[in-house]
Amino acid sequence: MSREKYRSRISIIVDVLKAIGEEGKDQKLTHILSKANIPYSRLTSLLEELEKLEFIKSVENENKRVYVLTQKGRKYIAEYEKFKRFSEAFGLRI
Amino acid sequence: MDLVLFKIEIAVESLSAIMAFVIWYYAYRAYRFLSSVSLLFLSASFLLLAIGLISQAAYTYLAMPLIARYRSIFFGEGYLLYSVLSLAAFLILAFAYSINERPATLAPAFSPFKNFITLRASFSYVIQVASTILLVFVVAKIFSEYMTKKSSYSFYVGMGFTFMVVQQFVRLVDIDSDVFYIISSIIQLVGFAFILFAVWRVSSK
Repeated sequence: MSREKYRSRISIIVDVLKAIGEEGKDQKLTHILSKANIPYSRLTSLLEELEKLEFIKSVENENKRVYVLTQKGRKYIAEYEKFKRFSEAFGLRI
Repeated sequence: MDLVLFKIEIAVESLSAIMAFVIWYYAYRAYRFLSSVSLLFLSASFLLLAIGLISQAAYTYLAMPLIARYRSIFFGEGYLLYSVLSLAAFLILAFAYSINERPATLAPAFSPFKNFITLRASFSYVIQVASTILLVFVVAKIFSEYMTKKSSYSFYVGMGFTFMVVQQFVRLVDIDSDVFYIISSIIQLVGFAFILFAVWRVSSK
């Protein structure tokens, strides 16, 4: 796999958080799966981890589990974007 | 070098050191967040540059009260330390841009010089030549990334390192000219200012 296509763990986390925070509404697992582009088993364990970190929270909505991005999660995405810009400014790939 | 030039030199070196420390701090924070090895090397290189600049400023300050003859010797000692630290910083920086490539190897060639001062000056010169080559490599890498992504931040960082290359060139052609030495320090300061400006724009967006 080329370096261009390789996704680091942190960029996968950010992709999942972005998928959850998209359009400012609660997101279902299927939506997150399609947007984040990672296997189901990996996504579920990652969601548990992100919930423990309080980046997201899960709620029951019409008998379906949906995920909501928290303020802490939004802040994490913003920090990631800032440091990514910094890295790109120096011509370094993360 | 007369005392006024010494004072200007101390001010310029100190200001450059502060800028290098700020860039190091931001690069280190970015490394902690993103866990990127390249960013670790970037932060390490700016830390070494900052320490080198601080040591150079300290040596210059301590050399001031000495009589002219010893002053230049003491100043030269400081400059050698600064040059070695800068070379280490640029080696690490070049390594950050070529992690999967073969790193540049540097084996300064020694000749049996008769006196220590000549040996030291020659060693400093070899170090500076090596530093310049490494910096040119870094600038080429940054501008090639800039050409691909057209990020204005990369442009400012590239400009900053370009000023550092110019500073290295000025010091290479400088033959015992105090004024040229100060000018090269100011050029380096401008380089740090460019990089710091890019860091400020990145963080304030």
